[in-house]
Amino acid sequence: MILFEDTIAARATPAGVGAVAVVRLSGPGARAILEAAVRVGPKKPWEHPRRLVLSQVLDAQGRCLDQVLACFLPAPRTYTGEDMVELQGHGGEAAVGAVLGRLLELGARPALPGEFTRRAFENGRMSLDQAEAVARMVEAGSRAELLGAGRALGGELGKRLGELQEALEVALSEAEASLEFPDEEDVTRRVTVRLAPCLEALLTLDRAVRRVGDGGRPRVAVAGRPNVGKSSIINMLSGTEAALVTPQPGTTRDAVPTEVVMAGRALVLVDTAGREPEAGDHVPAGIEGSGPADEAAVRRAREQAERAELVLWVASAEPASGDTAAVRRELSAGLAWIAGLGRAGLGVANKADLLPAGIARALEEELREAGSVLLSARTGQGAEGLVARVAEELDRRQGPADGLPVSVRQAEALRRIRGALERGLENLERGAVELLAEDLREALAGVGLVRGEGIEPDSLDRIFATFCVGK
Amino acid sequence: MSENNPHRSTWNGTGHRRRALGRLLDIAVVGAGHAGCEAALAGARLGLATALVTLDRTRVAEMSCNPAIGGLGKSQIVRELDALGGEMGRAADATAIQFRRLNASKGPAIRARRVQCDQADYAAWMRAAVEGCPGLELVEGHAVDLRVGPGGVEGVRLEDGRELLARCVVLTTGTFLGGCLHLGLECTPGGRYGEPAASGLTSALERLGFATGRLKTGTPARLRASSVRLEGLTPQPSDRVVLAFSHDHPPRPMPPGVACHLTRTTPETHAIIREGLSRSPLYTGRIRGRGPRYCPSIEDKVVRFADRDSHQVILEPTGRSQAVLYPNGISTSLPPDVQKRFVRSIPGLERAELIRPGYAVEYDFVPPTQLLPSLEARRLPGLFLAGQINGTSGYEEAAGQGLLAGVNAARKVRGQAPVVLGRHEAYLGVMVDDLVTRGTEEPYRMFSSRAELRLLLREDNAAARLQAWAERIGLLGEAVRAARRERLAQVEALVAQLGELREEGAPGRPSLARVLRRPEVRLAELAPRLGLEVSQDVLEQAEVRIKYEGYVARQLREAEKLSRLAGRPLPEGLDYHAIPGISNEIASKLTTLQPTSFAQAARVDGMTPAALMVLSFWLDHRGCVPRGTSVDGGEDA
Repeated sequence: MILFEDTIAARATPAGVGAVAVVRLSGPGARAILEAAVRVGPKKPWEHPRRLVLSQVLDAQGRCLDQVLACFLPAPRTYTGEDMVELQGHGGEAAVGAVLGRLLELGARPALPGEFTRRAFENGRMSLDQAEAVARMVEAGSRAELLGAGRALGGELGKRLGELQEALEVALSEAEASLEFPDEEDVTRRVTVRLAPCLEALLTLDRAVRRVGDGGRPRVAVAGRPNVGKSSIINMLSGTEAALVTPQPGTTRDAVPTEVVMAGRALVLVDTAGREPEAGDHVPAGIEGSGPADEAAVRRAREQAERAELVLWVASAEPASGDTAAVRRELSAGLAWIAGLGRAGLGVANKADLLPAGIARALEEELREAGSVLLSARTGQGAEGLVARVAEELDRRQGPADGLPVSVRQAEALRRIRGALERGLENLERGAVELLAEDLREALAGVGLVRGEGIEPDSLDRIFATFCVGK
Repeated sequence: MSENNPHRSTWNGTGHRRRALGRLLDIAVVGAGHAGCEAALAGARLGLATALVTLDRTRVAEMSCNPAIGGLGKSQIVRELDALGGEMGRAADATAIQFRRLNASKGPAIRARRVQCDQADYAAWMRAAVEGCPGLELVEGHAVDLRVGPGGVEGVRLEDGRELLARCVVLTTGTFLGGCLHLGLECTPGGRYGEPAASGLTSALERLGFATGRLKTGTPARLRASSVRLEGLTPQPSDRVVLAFSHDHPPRPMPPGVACHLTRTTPETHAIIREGLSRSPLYTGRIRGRGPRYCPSIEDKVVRFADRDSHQVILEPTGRSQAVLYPNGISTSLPPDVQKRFVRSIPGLERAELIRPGYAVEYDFVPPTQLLPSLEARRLPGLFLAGQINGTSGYEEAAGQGLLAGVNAARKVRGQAPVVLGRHEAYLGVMVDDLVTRGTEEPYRMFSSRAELRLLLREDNAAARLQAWAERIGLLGEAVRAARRERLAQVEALVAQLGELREEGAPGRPSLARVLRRPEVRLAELAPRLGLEVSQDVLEQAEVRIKYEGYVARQLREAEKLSRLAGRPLPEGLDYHAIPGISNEIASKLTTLQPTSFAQAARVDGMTPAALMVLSFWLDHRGCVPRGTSVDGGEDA
């Protein structure tokens, strides 16, 4: 089956100079373009599929552009399901550019982003959940995430969805049979529609997935009043001087994203300026009376918090020397502000090194009970506790780091399945089997959404295979 | 018959009977079963000169199998038929001897009426309707060929050499076309027990390029009631109140006395059947046609569900006199001696006399994907097919198609656009769409789960759903239409009133409509307190509508999506093989079927979302190619 008529070409390795760069071709013209583009010895790559054959890519005048290892992969057992060619050339920009340019001259078209994978999906080489897993695999920022994406690519998500679908279809066929054949004893005897396996399958699936945000990696914003050490915390966590730190309050005016791996999870830490003052608030020093640049910065900080999966509210632990409650008050005020934005928050009291040991211990204990963390960004004391809490919060919100990654769209569909099943349970309890059947269909449509395909359950087929019905 | 036949007065003809033969008819209908009677009545009542050809005028509207009308999905069809002006509902109401409301304890969308009729009364009623219908001539004869001219079909040729010239022909041949009765290893040509088969038309259709196929169905033996011992069997009595199929008949009490009875097969029955399998046409490969899975023969049940040592048998009376019983559940094509032995191994039937044995019938059908949604043949204008010839099974399914085919033949003669009901409007729409887009591999029976909008396609609101169509078709008399409009207005008014009313007049309380949405609240209990005086039927419609509002709204949104997609037309004459990315198998199906819309294409067997995407992509980029131009020509232009 030839789905696409044109042949696409792209560089498969990242831009920049490297030892080797790979250029790929896919489409019905891949072989012809390869034959036209190279000079080969007695061994021709298209006669030795799936082997690397030394070849020279020539320009229109017959001059050598690059010496490459050419590999011809005949359809259909290729990544895209089409004829493919891979050329491993020298990793210089000029060499790669020249080779790619030559392929385009010979009739290939530059591939759009993700087009190779799209072709793989449309040619039936992979399901949509696998295609999405490829993107997650490329994006994976940690070993755990890579493992999760790998399992999804291997079809584990599809398998779990298959189990859920099976359970739903069995329940649906029982419901339908009891409606369609009210006279049949075989049906009426089994009229109890078993939803438990559906719920169980959904729960297993829910626990196995990692919900990936729209931007890919989860963003963790670090917020707090000026000069509580937000940037220092980021530097401590990332081990670099990514954020500009000065003793001057309000130094950070722009949110600076820093990519880090914490507890097996790749995430983006976002530094923010001190938060926007609100009416009735104590206006923090440093923002008071400042210019429009600062106002813009705090507005951006708010926006960053709104986009984040988790917001750390940092307060200085220093006032605890007098009264530990003052620190707790400041943390709960901040967390309330975060909750008001509809985000999840985590309280962090910094500068523990400024407290006497006894008070620090007491404060740490009090904070732990409230789910907050005592930290010294300067000494690194409490860093492990913070990492653990961040991981815990993200686990709770997104699923485990090595979970099967699902997109926002897929996560929404999973919620839809859950909603439908909950309604179905209620309807079953009051005997509204016809409504339960609708709910089960809705849940099945949800499974289809996760998979990226429509599901048309043929409950009649299943009924006839399972029940002895008919006059 | 217990009631006077109203047809002579309702259809106040001039009494002038023109002869069908030797002049130009508007419509010739071949076959006077449930499809043919509805088709012929519809054509004639719309004022067109119509002939109904039958092999035997004493066997009009025969109930060849069990004596019941209705059931889930089917009763909705009968209600729809009645909403549009069909006859089946009235006939069933007039001749019912036992009535049950199925799924009465479940939700209203899946409740269904089912009656046992007196078979002889039913056929007599229908024959009287046909014979009393002005402009309709019942012609005895054996149609063997079609007369075809350049513009399409021109009439029917009978075996004796006569010709019926007609602008449109409706074929409703049931199981008679190439019919073959299997009784053990013996196979005799026949359309029904004791009746000859029809020959010739199949090869005529094949010569015209139609594909044909074989299907199979079966029926059990009939038992002499006096030889059956009913004492000790579980009776299944009639409900006390009969809800009529016809919208014009009020509910009425059912006189007691007629009941069905339940018994069961025994391990001995199964042993006898297993022994007899070597002489079963089904298990010796003699029957090639595919039978219905929902109506398996008893030998099929015994083999496929070997772990069961007993199956239910329902003894249904076939008439008011209760002389003959129909044993529902033991349809068979085993040899008569085996039948007699296994029947007698069933409790209550130890001395049962078989009036006639059960048998299987194989017959020709014309795969319905060769039809337009109007039921007109794609390759032969003016030829309409309805009923079992389209691969369906069931009286109700046949009657429904018959009505649509008759109406559309009449509309064609008049130059009017055909009536095509939507899947969101009627089970009839679901059925026709299923047939012409997907075809069928086994005899097609309606199931409520075939309808995406099951909660909307109910018995109670059939008239409301189809009111606009009924007005457009024009089969109902003005008095009937006015009465129905009045009832629908009452429902509307009641629904509106319930939205305003609050219990005990408390302004802060939720409206009654809201209260009614709770499953445990019944309007019938509220109504007397509120002083609402409306008929049961109006009450029920209003209640159901309110109770399902939320789900129906969601389903309607889905339907809207479907119709938006459906709205995207597909050009005619498209060669799907020319579209890269559509598999040969699907391309062949699409090219043959020529779906007119995306929604139709989407339902083609084996169609994948990816293929639809490719199709939509291809159309976006090449544009719709007008009929007659080749794909390449379109691109050049």
